[in-house]
Amino acid sequence: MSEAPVEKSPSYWRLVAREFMRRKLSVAALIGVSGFILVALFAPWLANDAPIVLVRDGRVYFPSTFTYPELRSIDWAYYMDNLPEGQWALMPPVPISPYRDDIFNTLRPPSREHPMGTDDVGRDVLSRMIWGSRISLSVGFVAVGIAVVLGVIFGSIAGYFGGMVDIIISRIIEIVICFPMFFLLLTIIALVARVNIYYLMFAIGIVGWTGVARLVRGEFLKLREQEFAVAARALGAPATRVMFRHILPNAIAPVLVSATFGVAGAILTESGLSFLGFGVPPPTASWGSILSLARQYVYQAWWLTAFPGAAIFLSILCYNLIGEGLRDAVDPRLKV
Amino acid sequence: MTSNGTVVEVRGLKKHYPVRQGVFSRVAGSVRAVDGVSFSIARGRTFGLVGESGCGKTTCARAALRLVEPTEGDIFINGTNILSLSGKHLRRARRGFQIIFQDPYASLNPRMTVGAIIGEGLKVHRMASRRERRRRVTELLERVGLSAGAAGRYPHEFSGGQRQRIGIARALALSPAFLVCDEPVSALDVSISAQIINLLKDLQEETQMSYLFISHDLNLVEYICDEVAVMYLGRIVEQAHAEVIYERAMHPYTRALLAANPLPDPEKRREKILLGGAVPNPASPPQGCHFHPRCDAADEACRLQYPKLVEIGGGHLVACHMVDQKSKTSQ
Repeated sequence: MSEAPVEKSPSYWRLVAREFMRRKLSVAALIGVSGFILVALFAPWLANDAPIVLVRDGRVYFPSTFTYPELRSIDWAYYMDNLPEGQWALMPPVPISPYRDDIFNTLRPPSREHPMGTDDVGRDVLSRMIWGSRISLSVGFVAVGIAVVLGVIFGSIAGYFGGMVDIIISRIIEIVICFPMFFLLLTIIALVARVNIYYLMFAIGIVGWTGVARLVRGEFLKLREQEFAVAARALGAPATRVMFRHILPNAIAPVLVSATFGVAGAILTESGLSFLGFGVPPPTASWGSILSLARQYVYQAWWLTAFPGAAIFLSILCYNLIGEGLRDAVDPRLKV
Repeated sequence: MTSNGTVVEVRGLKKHYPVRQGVFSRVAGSVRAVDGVSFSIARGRTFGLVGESGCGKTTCARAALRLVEPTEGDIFINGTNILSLSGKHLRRARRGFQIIFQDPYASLNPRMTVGAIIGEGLKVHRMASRRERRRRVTELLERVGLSAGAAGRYPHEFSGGQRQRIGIARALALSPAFLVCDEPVSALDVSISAQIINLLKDLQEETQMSYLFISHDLNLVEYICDEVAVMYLGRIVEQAHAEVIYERAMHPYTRALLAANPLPDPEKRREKILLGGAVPNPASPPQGCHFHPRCDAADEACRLQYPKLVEIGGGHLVACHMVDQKSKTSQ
C-alpha cells in the first residue's frame, strides 16, 4: 500500500489563534505585553551605566553583557564621564544604573537627563522602572506557572478519580480559600527569615493554585464520562494517559484564560506587597517599591506615583484584555 | 469454553447503583440497572439486546467490558474471567474486546487527529512502530471506506456516518475477538445507517468477530442478529433466535414491542397492543413480575413472584408465568 500524502488540517489552537487575531483590542494588548516583556528581557542593555560596547586598547568589550576581570575595578559612571582619548563606547539609551544615587539631584522632576525624574536619593526613575519590570513581570509568570502546575495536578486527580481522593483534595482547597490571600502571603513571608524575590513568587503561586484546581476538577468531572474518554479506557490506555492526553487538552482552554487573568492578579499582588514594604528587599527596584516610596512624597513628586502607577495599570489592563480575547476565542460554541 | 466456539460468556451480571439520601449519604436503596443477566455469544455470531430507553442495555454492555464495575457476576471472554484481572493485566486484556459508541460526535477526541485516534490502541499496547502504525491506520481507513488522507484531519471535519466509521476503525485496530456495538446507528439517518450496518456485517464475515449488538430498532436487530434478548428493567424477559422472536414471541412485553414496530409495508395491518402506564421507577420496581402493572394477562401469581427465565424449547427462553402455565398444560 502506497503511503498517501497526509494533509494536515488546522489544529484547534490554530483556529483559536485565528479567532483571537480578529479582536483588535486584544491584539493591541498582546503587542503591549510583548513590549513590556521585551523591555524586561533587555533591561541590561536599555538602562545601565556600563557601555554596551567598549573599545579599549584595541580590544572590544561588552561590559553590560559580561564581566571582565580587568574591568572589575572600574566605576562606570566616572569612567564614562572621563573617557580616555582613543577609546570608543556605545552607551545604552538610558545610561544610568538603577542603583546610582546622587545626593545633589534628589526628587528632581522629569527633565532631559532624567525623563521620569529622580527619587529621594537621586536615583533615576526611568532606569528603576525598566529594571523593575523584570521583577513585576517575572513574578506574574512564575507565580501563575506554579499555581497552574499545582492546580492542574490536584484538580485533575480529584476530578478523575473522584470518591475519597476528591473529598480530601476538595476539603484542602476549601481550607486554603478560607484564608484571605494577603494574610496567607504575609504569614509565609513572616516565616521566612530573608525574603527574596523567589520566595515571593513561590508564595503567590502556592496561595493561588486553588482557583485553577477547582476549574480543572470541574472540567475533569464533566469530561471523564464523555465517550471519547471511555473509549480511551476501553482501548486499555492507562489512567495517566486518559487524564493527560485525552481529558486535559480538552480542559486546558479555560485554565489558560484564567491563568492570563491570574498573571494580572499576581502583578498586582506583588505591587501591593512591595507597597506595604513586604516585597522585594531594597535596593532592588520593582514597580510596587517605587510606588511605596512615592507615598511619602505624594505632594512633592508626582512622577514617583504617576509612572509606576501607569505601568502597573497598563500591564494589568493588557493582561485582562488578552484574557478576555482568549476567553472569547476558546468559546465552546466555536465551530470545532 | 473456546472449544465449543463460545467467545463470550456472561453469567449473572449485576450492576446496582446505590441511592444515597440525607446529610450522611446513607444508602437508602439501589437502582438495579442490570439485575442478573446471562448470555453467551459464539464465534462470528451476533447477539442482540433490545428494550426501551433506560432498561439497562447500555449499562449491561459497559459492565460486560468492565467499563463500569459490575456488582456481581462472571464474564468470560476468550476463556478468561476478566473480573479476576486488575491493573496492567486488565488493560492488556482489553485488546480482545472493543466497543463502538452510540454518539459519533462525543466518542472521538476533538483535539486529536483521526490518525492519532485510530492509532491510539496500537500505541498504547506498543504493537507497532511509528511507521507501521501509519501504514496500519491507512489500511484501516481504507477498510472502513475512508480515504487515507483523512488521517491528518480532525473529527469535526467529518459527518456523523464518517465519524462512526472512524470509531469502527479505532476498535478494529486491535483486532478484537469481541465487539460491543452500542446503538451504533441510532444517531445516523437511514441510508447512512444501512451502509454502516453492511460494513459491520462484512467485517464480521472477514474476521469472525462476535458482536453484542444493542439497539431499540427491532427491524435492524432482526436483520443483523443471530440471537436476540429483550430486556425490561434490568432483566432479560425473553431470549430466542432472531426468527423465533419475530414469529413466535411469547412474552407480552416482547409482543407489545413488536406491535409498536413500524412495518415497511403500508398495506400490512396487524393487531395493535397499547401498553398502559409508564415504565416503573427502577429504584423501586413493582413486586412480583416487573411487568405486571402494564400487562393485560397478569393474575395473582404475577403480583407475588418474579417468574423464572425458563426454556420452552429450541433455546427459546421466556420469563412469564402465563407462558409457563400454558406450556405446562399443553404438555
